[in-house]
Amino acid sequence: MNLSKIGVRYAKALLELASDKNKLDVIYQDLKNVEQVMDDKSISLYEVLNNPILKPSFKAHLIEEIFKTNVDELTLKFLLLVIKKGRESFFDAIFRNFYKQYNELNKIREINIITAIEPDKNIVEKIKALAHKIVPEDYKIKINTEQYKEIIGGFVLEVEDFEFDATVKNKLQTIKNELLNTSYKIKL
Amino acid sequence: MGNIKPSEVSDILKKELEGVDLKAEFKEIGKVLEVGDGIARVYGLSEVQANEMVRFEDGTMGIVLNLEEDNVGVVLLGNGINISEGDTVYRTKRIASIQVGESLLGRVINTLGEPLDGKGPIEGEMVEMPLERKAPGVIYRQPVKEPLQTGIKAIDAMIPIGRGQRELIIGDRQTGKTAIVLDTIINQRENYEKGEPVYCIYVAIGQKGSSVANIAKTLEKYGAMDYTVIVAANASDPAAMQFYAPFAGAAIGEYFRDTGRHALVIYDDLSKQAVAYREVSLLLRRPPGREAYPGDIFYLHSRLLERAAKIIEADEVARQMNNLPEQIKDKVKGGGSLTALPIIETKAGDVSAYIPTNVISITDGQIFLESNLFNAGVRPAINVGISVSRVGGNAQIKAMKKVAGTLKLDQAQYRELEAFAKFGSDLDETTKAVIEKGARNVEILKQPQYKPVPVEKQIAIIFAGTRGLLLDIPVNKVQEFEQEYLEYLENNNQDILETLKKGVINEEIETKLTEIVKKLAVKYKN
Repeated sequence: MNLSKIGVRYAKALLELASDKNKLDVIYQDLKNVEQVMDDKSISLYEVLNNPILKPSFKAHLIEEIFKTNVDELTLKFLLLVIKKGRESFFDAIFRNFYKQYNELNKIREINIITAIEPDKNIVEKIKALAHKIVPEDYKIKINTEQYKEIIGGFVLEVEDFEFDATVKNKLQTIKNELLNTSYKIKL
Repeated sequence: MGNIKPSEVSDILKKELEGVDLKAEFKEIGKVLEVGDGIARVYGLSEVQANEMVRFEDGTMGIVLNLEEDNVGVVLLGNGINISEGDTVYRTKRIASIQVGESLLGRVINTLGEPLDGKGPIEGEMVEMPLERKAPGVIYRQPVKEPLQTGIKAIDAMIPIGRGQRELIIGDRQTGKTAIVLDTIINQRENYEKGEPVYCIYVAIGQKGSSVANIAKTLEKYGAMDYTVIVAANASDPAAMQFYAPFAGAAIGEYFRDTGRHALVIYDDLSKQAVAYREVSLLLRRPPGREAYPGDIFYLHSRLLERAAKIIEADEVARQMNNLPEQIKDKVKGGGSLTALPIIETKAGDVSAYIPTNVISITDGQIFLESNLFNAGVRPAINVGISVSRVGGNAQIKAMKKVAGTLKLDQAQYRELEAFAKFGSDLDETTKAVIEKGARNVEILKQPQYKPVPVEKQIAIIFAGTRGLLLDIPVNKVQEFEQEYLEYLENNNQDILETLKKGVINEEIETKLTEIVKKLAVKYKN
């Protein structure tokens, strides 16, 4: 069976139910929180859920105890369903596809801007304008920013499946490659 | 380094720097979800095509094989040890391909066309040929009609191979499969010297690096590397490199085929390639079938072997051939051919295993090698009974066809009767005659390695065998006689050999040959 379909199907089911119950934004926020907890390396919840030695009943109990006071009833039910079906190793794929489908439904596109230092508003606006080359005009743009010292200067813009690399690091690398690749023919 | 002033260096650097394009642009990317066992799953790359090359952040190349709903499966063409989760993957917008040109001749390269022989970069004019390409359609082909001389008496006489044919060489380990193809390559030296080369491509799949080095050295020694390319994907290379290696070989062969020349490609061996493909398929979670091979293993081999073809003579038709790569279009000529000699290794002589039956059914015939014949000293160890060539007969030169017409049948009959002969002496005359003649023909068909025999000499000696002229010579003296006879012809009757080479045999020549044989045979009589 094509395993990559699993994440898509579960995400779609949750999205449709959430939209029927008018809880879309709540569920979206819940999943973001749950993902953050699962990704937290210090408590390694993801490893526990993926451990085949532990019984599903224990995993379900664990999830219930952790999240029952913090998330919506529907989210909790969903998490338990995934565990009951033995699909806990697909949580990351499910989250990924849920965000994607949620963004599509609400006509949002997320973009990542990576800079060396905190960018000022003007620059972010300019980069946003650049992103609209890829993103259709009627879509809203949601900006995530990150800071990486290694890029030295400039910025990287990531939109959907595209990357716009205007960093100093990349330019230096291009120059380096170009100079190394040229075979000089010395005529005497 | 010559005498360069520092100021000149900075001038050159300045010029170079001016040429560097630093304009950033949007690039299509994906992110690595998981990586391991030579494959990577990549999220994103939604526009990527099947079989497209992608580049990972650390410079490793990969080929897209699986396009799935949420991710793409990529096989790595490197060890991928520096690739980690979240790494960026870039599209190259290039279908997996190899750079092909005349300068490949004499070189040892890998699946990607990179040199492995330490003779420096491959320069000269190159064209880009895709690894996967549709085979030429029916209207761009013509029937096989020219012979491809292997220089091996048993093959050229009984299982003739034509240019554009696909002839399988099958047998257990250590039965001389590789020896046959190496002899065939060495025998093409004659064509090369005549100025009508048959370019050879030897594809080594999953072999030891030392074996490949040995083969390269042997070919070098016999002057065969001048017209040969070796494509090597060794046992230590990634599985993807191994299963793409025959496709790289076919792409190189197609370059010669489509430019109106003759090429011979050898896949040594396809059973290892099938194993490499199975490995990749299982890692990509494609469903396993019989012997855990994927369902498209037959298609893998059939589309590879279909690319062997004899192209139609007319240039204007050939120029319209389907799926011609852009860069070769202005060089296309008709009349070229690509002959394929795939090799399959069987386990304990079992030809009814999955891969052997598949490839037998795809090819235009097979040469079956047996280990008990090999051990009995019959080398090449060809089992005549089940070896066939379904199209090569049309390609055989007339003289050979006439002389060797009944040889195959005679030998098959001899094999059957041979078992009887062991039981006792109560045999009727006809049976005895068949056995006597058969035993001598077996001796004639024996041939040492690296000693290909030109076709005219083959005809001369087989003539003596099939006409029963050797019956007075003891079986163990036949080889000695053969040597003397051929030397005699070379020294005294060059004219006969020349005529035979043209494919002509008439009564006059037959009488002359018979006389010579009888004259020389006298002293071997006991």
